[in-house]
Amino acid sequence: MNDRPLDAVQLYAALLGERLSADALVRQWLDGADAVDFVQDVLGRLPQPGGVEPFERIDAERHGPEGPVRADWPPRMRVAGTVRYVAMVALALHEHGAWRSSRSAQELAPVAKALLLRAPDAWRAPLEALCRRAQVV
Amino acid sequence: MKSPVSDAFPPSARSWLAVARDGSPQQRRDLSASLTAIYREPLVRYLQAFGVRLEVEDVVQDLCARILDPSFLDEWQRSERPFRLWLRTAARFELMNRIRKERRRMGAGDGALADLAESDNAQTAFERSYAASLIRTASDATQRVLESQGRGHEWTLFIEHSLQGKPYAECAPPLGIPVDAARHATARVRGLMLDALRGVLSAEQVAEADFERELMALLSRLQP
Repeated sequence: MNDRPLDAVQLYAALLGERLSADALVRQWLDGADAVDFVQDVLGRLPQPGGVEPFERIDAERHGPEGPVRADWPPRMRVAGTVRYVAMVALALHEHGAWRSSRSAQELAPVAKALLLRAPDAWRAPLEALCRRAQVV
Repeated sequence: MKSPVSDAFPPSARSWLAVARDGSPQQRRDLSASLTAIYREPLVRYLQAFGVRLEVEDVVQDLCARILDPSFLDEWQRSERPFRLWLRTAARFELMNRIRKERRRMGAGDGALADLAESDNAQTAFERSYAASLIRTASDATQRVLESQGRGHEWTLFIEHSLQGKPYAECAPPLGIPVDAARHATARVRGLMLDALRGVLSAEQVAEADFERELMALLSRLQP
């Protein structure tokens, strides 16, 4: 048994499981050590004509053969939408020129807003540009 | 009462009153300890945010000592306020009384002390600490229940899988849990923890329909 105090955030996340909202997932993910790097990597590959790689492949390169699986994240968090959010928006923009989602802009706006509020300075500008194009804020 | 309180988290706000009035000394001690574990630290953080030169821990200690006083709980019930807001108000008034006493002792009048304004910082400090102490106390209680039932390995499974991210195939067999049964075991542990939280959140006047939203709100208070 681990003698360290249990992490309260992880305990809540474990309880909420798949029901953890996108907003909370985004906040969790932004606390990840290489979140900025990952987003920059995804965005950096976008302009290449015909060279858009599924974000899962990029993630797999960074995190191992199991794809979007990070050992330091609770399981639900690893497989849920957080890590995919920025890449998903980016790829949708690249492919369709607009953000397409079954979820309403009203539902996504708080997610994007939360993401921008928590975004490190290094990639706030690219994200803001992305969100403007994505029409979710 | 069918089961001893020591084996469970505070099951509901209504049960607090029953224990306060008719519980055995042991039941009262156990319930008082559970509630103190949840609310003591948040109250200390709350009073510290007022920045007064008094030992706020003494104030909170005294408040926690009468947390199961039936008249105190009756007054809270009549107030129809969430328990933590009731405690915060009680703590703030107690702090004001201490300040007045201290001023009188020093020979100063207390006319200038109209009220202690509750700052946003004080509220934030309380809510953040409360979110952490609530989930930790619930998890401690769940672990105790499982260990008392000889199912401590299920708690370990829950931690290793749900918090540390280990696959069932890796963490279940060493604990003697078949991989096929692992998902059910962690679901049971989650259910126990959720039930533990429901008891306290009922006192915080969180309706069942809002339970999940409240957990989300508690989680968000822990974000930097």
